[in-house]
Amino acid sequence: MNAIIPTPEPTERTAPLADRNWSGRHVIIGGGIIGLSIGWQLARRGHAVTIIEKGAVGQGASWVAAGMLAPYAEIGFEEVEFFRMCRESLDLYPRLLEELTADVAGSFEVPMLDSCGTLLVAMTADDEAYLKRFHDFQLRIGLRSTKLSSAEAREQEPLLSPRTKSALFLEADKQINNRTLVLALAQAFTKLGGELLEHTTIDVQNVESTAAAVILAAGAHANAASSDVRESNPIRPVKGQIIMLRSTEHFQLRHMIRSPRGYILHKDDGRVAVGATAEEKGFDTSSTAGAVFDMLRNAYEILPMTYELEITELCAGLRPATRSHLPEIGYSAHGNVYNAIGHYRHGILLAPYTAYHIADLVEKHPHASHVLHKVQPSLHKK
Amino acid sequence: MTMADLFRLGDKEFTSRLILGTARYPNPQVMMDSLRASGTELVTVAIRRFNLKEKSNDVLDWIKNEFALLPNTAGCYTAKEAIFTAELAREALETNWIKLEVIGDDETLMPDVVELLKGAEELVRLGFTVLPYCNDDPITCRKLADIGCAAVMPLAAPIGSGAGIRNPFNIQIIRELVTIPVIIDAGIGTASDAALAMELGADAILLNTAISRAEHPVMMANAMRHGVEAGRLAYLAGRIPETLFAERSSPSEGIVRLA
Repeated sequence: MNAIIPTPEPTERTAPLADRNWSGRHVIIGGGIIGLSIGWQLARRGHAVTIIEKGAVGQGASWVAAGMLAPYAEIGFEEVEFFRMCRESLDLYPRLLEELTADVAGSFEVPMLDSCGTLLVAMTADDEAYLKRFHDFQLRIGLRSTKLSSAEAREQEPLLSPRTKSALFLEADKQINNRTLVLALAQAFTKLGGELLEHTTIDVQNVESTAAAVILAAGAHANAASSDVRESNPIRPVKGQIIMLRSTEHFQLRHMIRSPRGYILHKDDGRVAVGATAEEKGFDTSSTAGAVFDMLRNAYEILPMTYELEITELCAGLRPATRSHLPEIGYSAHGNVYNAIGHYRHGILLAPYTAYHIADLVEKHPHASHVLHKVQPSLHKK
Repeated sequence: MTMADLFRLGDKEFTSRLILGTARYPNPQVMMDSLRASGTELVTVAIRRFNLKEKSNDVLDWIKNEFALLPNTAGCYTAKEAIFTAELAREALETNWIKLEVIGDDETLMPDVVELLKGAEELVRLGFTVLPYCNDDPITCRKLADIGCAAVMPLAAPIGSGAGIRNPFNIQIIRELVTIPVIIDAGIGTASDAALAMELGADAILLNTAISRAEHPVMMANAMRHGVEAGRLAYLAGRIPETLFAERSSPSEGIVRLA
């Protein structure tokens, strides 16, 4: 069982790596979901790959994340182009899971894609006004969004509070167990001959002269590993607190539940994830009373039965954010250095897109030319 | 506009009469683009949103680089908390300006008048330039002015509600009762609300959600800039009286008759 208070990371090791000759290896800085999925994809294509991770693989934001693959619920008014990237990534998930299953060949669990959809619920008249605006927007840009009455919503999700006013059903959203996924990716990566160096830090500069390619996938710590990133498109940590509860045989959810104030997800391993905050608190990852209180209150108001559930974890992760909150996936200013950074809230969702596109780019694949270096915000008006 | 319609607040002068908040934007890039588009020169930040113990904060530093900072005590329920937060802000951000917010509950976010007056009195005594967010109550505003606040900032409607000017008569009474600047803080929903507030004689507008949560924040920031400027000009220009019957706008004598 996980401790409620996470244990501190072991101290990092830097020393002898700086002089190592990488002699044609692909070096990935960062062993979260992004670095792992790129590393795994390159390894299965026959490349020699090393992943360098400052802590333990998959234990940062990738571990704390809820594993929502919900581009339909998360689309912003000026993010239509970015939404297309997210949807493309969601569509790539079955391919990734199929390949991963083949690679671990029964020796390790690969998570299933859960096509549960999102129920976006309104608990007050003010929530309904916001939902209506969102619903109108989704219809305007041609997305499927179904309005449900309180009774219809509660028929679909019997544990919803009778005080639910109405809901939107976004059927194409999915979820996955991100913890099993990162462990499976790490397993497949090493099984395919990849080298994993944990509790190790390194700067892009120390690697780029001898490595075939360097891929920066250092999440919230990207600034520390690359002065280029620090100066051209800085990454800052955006703290997200989350609570893990344990479901019971009577507490079962059929959909991902969201309101304008947060979400409640039922994961396939019995966890119930209640989240999340978005805080500008630097690298602080403490759990705070107010945030925990707000999230639990929100969960209780939507699903009164959460009142009874056991708390198993209080944790916080650091989302890696650019100033536009859009990722940078592709070439950097240096020939053999690639950036896979700034995934913000969408690291799990964008892992397939990032892995396939970076792998294609590194291999100079002819179809890789359409890769968006940086997505531009789009203005979409009726 | 004539050359010098400057907005004097505390020991500073501004050309813009729009003060903006920084919360709930889709991302920092849109926030900065919106602040720039609005023409604002003074930007308020919630001290509790940031970790002031860290040496640098990308977002806060970025704002500070381009705009004067007005720290606020959002999230405080007692005078004591608000004073502590103001002192933290003064030390970390090197400004003695404080937007004093002491709220009564988190459903309405309405000010707790008793705690607000207590906090304002103490902060003025401690040498702060105090800008209190308050109810649209003329007597509260007069007391805040008597205490020595640099302005009064009555709400138009609840924070984030976008409900517009709920009580224009009170705003006019407040305008008559105090000589310090009157800044309408909270409740503005769209550009015409801002224009109306300025026409009622407000010296400036403070708003946040109407821009940050608009579908297109930068566009709305530009609209607000025009709304505030239009309202200010109309106020200075002196509007015509309202009459019941039509007032012919072209003369009836000397009309050329085609016969």
